[in-house]
Amino acid sequence: MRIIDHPILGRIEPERTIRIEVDGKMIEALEGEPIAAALVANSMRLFRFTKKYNEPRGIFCAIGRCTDCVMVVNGIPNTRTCVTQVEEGMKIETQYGSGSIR
Amino acid sequence: MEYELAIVGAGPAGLSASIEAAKAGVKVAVIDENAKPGGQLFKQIHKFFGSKEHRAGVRGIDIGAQLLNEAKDSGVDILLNTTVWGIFDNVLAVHSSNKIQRLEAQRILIATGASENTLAFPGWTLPGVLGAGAAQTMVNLHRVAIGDRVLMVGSGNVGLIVSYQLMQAGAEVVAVVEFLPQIGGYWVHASKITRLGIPILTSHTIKEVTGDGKVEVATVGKVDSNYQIVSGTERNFDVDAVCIAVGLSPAAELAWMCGCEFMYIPELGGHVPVYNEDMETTVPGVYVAGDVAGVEEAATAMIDGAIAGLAAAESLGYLDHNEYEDLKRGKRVSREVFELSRFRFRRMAKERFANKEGRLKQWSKT
Amino acid sequence: MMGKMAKETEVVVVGGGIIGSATAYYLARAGKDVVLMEKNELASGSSGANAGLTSTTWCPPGPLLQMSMASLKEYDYFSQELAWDIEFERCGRFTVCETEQQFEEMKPFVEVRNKGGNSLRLIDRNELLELEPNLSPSLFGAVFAPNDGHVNPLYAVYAFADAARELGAKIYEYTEPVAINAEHGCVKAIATNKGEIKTKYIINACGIGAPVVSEMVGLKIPIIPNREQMLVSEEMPPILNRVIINAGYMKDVQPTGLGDSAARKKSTQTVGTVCNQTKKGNLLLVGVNDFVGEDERTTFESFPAISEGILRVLPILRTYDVQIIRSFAKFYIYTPDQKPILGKVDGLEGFIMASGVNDYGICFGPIIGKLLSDLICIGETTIPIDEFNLSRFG
Repeated sequence: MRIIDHPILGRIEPERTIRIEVDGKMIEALEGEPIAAALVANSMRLFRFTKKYNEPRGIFCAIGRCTDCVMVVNGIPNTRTCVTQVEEGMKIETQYGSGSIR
Repeated sequence: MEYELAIVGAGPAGLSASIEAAKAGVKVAVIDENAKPGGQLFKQIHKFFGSKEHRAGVRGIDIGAQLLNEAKDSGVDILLNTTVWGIFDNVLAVHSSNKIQRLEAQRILIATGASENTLAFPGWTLPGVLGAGAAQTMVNLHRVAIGDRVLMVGSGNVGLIVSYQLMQAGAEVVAVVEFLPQIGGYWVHASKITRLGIPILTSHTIKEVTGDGKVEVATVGKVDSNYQIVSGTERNFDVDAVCIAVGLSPAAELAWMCGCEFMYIPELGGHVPVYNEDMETTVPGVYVAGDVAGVEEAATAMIDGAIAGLAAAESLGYLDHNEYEDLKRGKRVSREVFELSRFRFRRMAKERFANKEGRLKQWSKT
Repeated sequence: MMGKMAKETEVVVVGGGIIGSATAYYLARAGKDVVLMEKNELASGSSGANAGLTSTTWCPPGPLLQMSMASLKEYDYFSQELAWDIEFERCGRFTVCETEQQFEEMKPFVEVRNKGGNSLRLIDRNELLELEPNLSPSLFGAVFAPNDGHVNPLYAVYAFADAARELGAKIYEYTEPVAINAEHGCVKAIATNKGEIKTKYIINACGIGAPVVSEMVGLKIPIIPNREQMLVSEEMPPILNRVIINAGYMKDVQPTGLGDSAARKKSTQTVGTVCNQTKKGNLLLVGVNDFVGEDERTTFESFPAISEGILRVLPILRTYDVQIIRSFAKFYIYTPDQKPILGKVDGLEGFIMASGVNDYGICFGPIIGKLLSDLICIGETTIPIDEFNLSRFG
């Protein structure tokens, strides 16, 4: 959910809306925001499953240090979604383990 | 690339240092791995307090903008989206746009701040459990809600402030859980959230978090004098997010790499690099300032950063020694005034810092 | 270990790396009273900072080849029979040839070694790419050693130490020798920073610190530290089945007998390409080697140097924007002839050398431990180690 109106920060300025693909589904994102923000705004919080025990993970630190939020982006695994900006037509997939090389 | 002073980190400490050094004539670069400078300032939407000099009454986001403009006006080069991945003697190894480069500097200031600590409990890895700072980033910077009903773990300043900011953004903070018998942060922050009806449960801790692929229920229990959960006191909260605010630790990897000597001081966040009253570490020419030298706040980061900038300028010959000592004294007085102006202060041990040449640095906290 | 230090024992092993911990294990297994002492923490020296490679490929026929093959069998036993998870895998090794000349040179190289008991195969580019599809098609071929492998060196040290402890060995960290007491040409006791231990045998299993210990008994050990730097990548999906090394590096670093290695020439720097994917998925990328005394700091230049080498051989890393997360440096323990320094010493009964293992310490650790244990317990070794005696240096 987006915080459109805020008592201190004011209204969100209308940015350009772009479309990105997440696990085959098209969603709306705002130009300039990190992938993780777009996902959370669309109520998606589960980003990957761990290698050993297949456990669900999402955001933890949100500033690119912990690597909990990594997903496969345009085919490249281990991409930190909290510090990678969205781009029109970007393909994002839930990462399983370390991902795969195609 | 060559600079006289290279500053790692464009937060309040780094920017303040760059302004002082640049005004004295030093060729300065500030390097930051983020797309936007300002460090934690750009998430702080609350008003700072202290005195006018400490920019009291001004919101963090505005202080950040002020510092940035002053730095740019003073001729500082600000390199964004650039990571310093190593320091090899006087060469900073930087990485930017998929290229690695050498940046040579005569003086280096490490102002890399601190990272959030975490807390392990059953369910701690579920999506929806995140750092309080992370929640702040998502809500204040990216303008997305991290949850509708949130449990906050930790009642230090970060826990209290972020709870308030979550409420401002439209979330409901169901409770703040505090392990110790007393609230950790300042009364002024605590009263803001108790006025909003958020209970602060002291002597309580989080027992576990459960849910199907995400946070659904947080179980909290009261602790006894041995900090063990008392059976039968468990309470469940229906939440979709749990924020962890259990302190910060200096992000001092670069200082370790340089060979700086460290001391372990829990009250300042753990392992902190040893430095003297000129903010210089045990490695000549390497300075530290801000949270990386001991977790405090933006106001002290700005003062310490300014001192480091002045010290570097003096050592490079841009400031006369007596002039520098006067300016430094002024800054240190200002720091003490700031410390005394607080309503309530975390108790800190008196510590002596000594570097290898025997120069003493004494911090006294009331 | 907490508690009082032992006052007397039969064997003191000095040095808590792979040699020391393995030796302590074999001795304890043979029923000896053993003390293992380490001045820092176990595996904090060279044993804790390498790629964990275990290879027979380079070994010239003779004791070196016999030892490497026997050592790998010991790793088999330890990890399979004793069920210690040290991530030992005989995944195989490709020594890749980047030039046609190298490929030609490998023909007699393989023949000689197979006559000596190894089972190497020289394979051409097509077969190489079939077996390892992510390698660069610009390679000419490779020497394939199907039984070479790798191990997690830290786990190996800890496992041998734990197994030794279970068999009664005492292990003391933050303990180092300050003097060695001998009488009538026999070892009597070792004085440490934590007290004295009476002992019959002292085994010098230190790495670059070996000369310091030998100095205590008036022996000069010709050890030359060579700093090796390596990089570690983020966890990757499986992209490499086997260990890769380029033939040029093998010739430079290892005593293959193919002419003077860099170690012998003491050339200032060697750059090579070695790549190994660990069980967790990280790539270990080796390396840059320098003679810089005991300076164990990493350098800026090692990053582009190692990266360029690996990208030539494994171009897929560029496509996948692979991140390097760490780098570190530690020492190879070179000797002038690149053979180890093992066995008894003239003039001092009870003092035994177990050092100078160049770049093959992780591979040879177990067999050295076993041979020295045999030397002490039954007076002889199943593989002759006379040519590795310290006395060869005159």
